Amino acid sequence: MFKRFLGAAFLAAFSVHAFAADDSDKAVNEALQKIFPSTKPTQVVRSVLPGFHQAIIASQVFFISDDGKYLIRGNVYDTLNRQDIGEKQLAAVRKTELDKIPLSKQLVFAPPNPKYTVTVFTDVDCPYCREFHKKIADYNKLGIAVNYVLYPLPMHKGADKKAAALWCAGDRNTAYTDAMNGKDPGEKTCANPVAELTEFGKNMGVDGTPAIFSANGEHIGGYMPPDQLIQRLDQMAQHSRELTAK
Amino acid sequence: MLRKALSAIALVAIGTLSMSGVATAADTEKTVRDAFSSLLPNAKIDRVTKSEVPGFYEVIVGGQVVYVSADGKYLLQGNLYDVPAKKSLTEARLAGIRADALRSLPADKMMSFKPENPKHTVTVFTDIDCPYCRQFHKQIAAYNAAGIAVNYVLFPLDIHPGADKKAEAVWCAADRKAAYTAAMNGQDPGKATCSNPVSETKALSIAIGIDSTPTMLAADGTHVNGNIAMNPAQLVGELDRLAAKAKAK
Repeated sequence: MFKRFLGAAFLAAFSVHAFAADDSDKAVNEALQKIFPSTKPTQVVRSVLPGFHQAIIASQVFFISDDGKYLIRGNVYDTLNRQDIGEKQLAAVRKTELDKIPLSKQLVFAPPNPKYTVTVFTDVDCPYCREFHKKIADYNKLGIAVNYVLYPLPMHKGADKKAAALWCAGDRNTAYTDAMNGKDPGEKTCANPVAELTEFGKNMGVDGTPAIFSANGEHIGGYMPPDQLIQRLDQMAQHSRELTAK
Repeated sequence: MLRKALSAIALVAIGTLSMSGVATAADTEKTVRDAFSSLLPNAKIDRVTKSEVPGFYEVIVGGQVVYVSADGKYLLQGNLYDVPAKKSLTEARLAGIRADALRSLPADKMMSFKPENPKHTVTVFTDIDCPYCRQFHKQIAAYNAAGIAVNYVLFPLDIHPGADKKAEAVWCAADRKAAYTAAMNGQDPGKATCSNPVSETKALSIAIGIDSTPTMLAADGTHVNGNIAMNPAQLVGELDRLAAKAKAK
């Protein structure tokens, strides 16, 4: 039964435009416009929280009552399933977004038969990104494939040039590894996806590096050593198996 | 703190909370309590009351408030706003809890610096080794001249090792207020000891969710913004505004 319930919630999240605009949709949209006059919501859907809609605004989830009277800024948990309802909506949207980045625009470090794949937004001049990459063999050994998305932060001057230079190197992965070990990647230029990826990450709300996301779009967090990351991924997989079994 | 505890729950095994059919108010309250405890078994619930939002209950825990749906299925943690009234219901409830806590704190467990006929009274949680607390106290005459009485509550932070001993020494000095002022000007308060309320005031501060110093509360329990609190002229304006708002209620 619960599977059906979740399935319905999932469907609701993606068929928002199929709904006829009823009274509550109207009240919710009007209230949102009043509260956030300059920011348009990315997605407004009926929430599983009874009497509420939920909206993504600037990469954050807000819950708003169907009559537009109450707004919740914070986290809403499904107590039975131990799920963060807002995070679930964000993850679904992020997954759709992440799936839009072709592998040809990422740097892939994968073991032969990966158990998990994570997407990591990375910056050549970020110390914890370097720390992460120094252990790439360990992550791979544990069955974790790492897809890097180049995401030079504006606060690191020249990091965008370095990202372009390693992208334009003959062997991209080696150039990346060298750069993460402190080697100057030089000044090579060519057609590259760095600017596009930067824009992409910004729109997704990525505000620091490294930023690690699961294949389901869940935000895992910043730097995490290999043993902790695999533990986290195992827990997440276990949790989702339990949900499916229900 | 509560937030951190809650964000971790998404990872633990799925619980086996039983949901019963709808019944009496007492049953509903039990459902709400059980739902909360299933997520945070170690947190002690202070109070459960019906929320203004239909279908939801407020659960007060350690000076914080979360909301639970009447069926126990959902728990909300964060800020709940009344949109037409443009106010945070959560903040209003927390202010009420803090105001109650302040009322429960007797005057002889604080240090009061006040003018003749104070127009306003604020409570400031202070730590001798906190730079902004020192800066604040250097302006104490200006606050008093503006008609503001300041009640200090000693709240030595754990990040300042030895600050608790200094607080005790100040408290145990023959002239407490003079000792406090001297300590805030950088003088070592010495090592006097005596029976003192420091651990009690510290516990109270933590219980109402105060986690840094200086923290200023207005008489109605409203948390006064730090930048405003540091500026005597701006503070008067803010306290006038809060007083007018309280009167209008």
